[in-house]
Amino acid sequence: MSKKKVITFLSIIAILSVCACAIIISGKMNQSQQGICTKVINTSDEYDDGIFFMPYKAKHSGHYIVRVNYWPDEDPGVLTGFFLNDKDGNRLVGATAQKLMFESKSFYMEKGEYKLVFQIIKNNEQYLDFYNTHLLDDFEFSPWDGFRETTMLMDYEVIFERSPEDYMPVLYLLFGVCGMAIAFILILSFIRGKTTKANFDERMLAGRLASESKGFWVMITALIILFLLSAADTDFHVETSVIFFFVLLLGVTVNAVSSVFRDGYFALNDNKKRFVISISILALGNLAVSVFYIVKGKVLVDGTVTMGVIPILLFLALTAILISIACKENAETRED
Amino acid sequence: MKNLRLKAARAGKDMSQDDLAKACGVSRQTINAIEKGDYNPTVNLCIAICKVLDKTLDELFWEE
Repeated sequence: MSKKKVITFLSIIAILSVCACAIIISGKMNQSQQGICTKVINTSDEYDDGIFFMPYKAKHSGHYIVRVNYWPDEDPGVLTGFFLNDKDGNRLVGATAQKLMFESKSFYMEKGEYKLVFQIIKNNEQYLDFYNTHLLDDFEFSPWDGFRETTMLMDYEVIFERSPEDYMPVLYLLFGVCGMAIAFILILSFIRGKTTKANFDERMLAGRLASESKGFWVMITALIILFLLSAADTDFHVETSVIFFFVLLLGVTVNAVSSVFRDGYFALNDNKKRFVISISILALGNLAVSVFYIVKGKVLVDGTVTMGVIPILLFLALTAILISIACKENAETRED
Repeated sequence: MKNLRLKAARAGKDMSQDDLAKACGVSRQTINAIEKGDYNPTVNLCIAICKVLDKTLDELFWEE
């Protein structure tokens, strides 16, 4: 490997490390959140309106944050706190604050039923204090009606429809990226031997350019179709990240296949045999992971295609490249 | 249009497409495409081919 390549590789690792450290230090671990599907069944006869409960997935840590909003509709009151207990009554997390929106600390949640306990103070003085401090001027209802001198406990039964996915922490992800980069460079070195600089002649370069253009436009077209379908409220039953990964992979695969047919995929100094062996091993690896995910039921969860489908997509893309190489070789053999 | 003059010149030197390609620093497919008339080479590549085959540009690439 040349000195320039080593410096480039180390620079990429350094940038990734700095980004990861910056994310950890700045406390952004829980900032990228995504609401998850839950079914909340009200088991109390009172105050079912105005309370909104939503667990949020704290992506980087793999834990959850529970957010509770209380917007009293008819009966005034102050939500002073909430607790989340498991089925046996053990407290998992709680929060108390004089705000309309509470957010718990991140904690681990599994699929199951939980008891959500709200404490709503129907006290005149407390409410007025709260009103003067926090509510906006244009708040609609009058604070003078319907006060009660009671403390009410409201129980909500929470059923998680989806199992929480285990997201790798940022550092694990960083190591994963580094590992993949090293593997990629090793494979590239293995394919090209001692020479790392790829040599393409003018016709190959023209072919590569045309293929890249084709891949780009396929990707743009797929994105436009995707946005049009999204605008028509089409439910794909596929995770958003998977859709965008598919679009990206589609563009890359079209580029690769087109490049193979235009003689622009392999450089003059590439070892085609080694390349085919490497790609075949990668394809088989992805196939093995795909079978494992399918058996474990990680591809389709509650009718939604999850990230577990990615090895299958990679396997299909690599197979498409291998088939195109085989077709091209066959055509050339016949030509000769 | 097929470039039969190039093919003849190559055969005259007893070179295969692969030999000519290696001597010019291009792929065998590129030489094949030029001979079949599927690809119009740049002047640089034409000159490189002419040098290897000891021919002039007119002799190999000029169309009457």
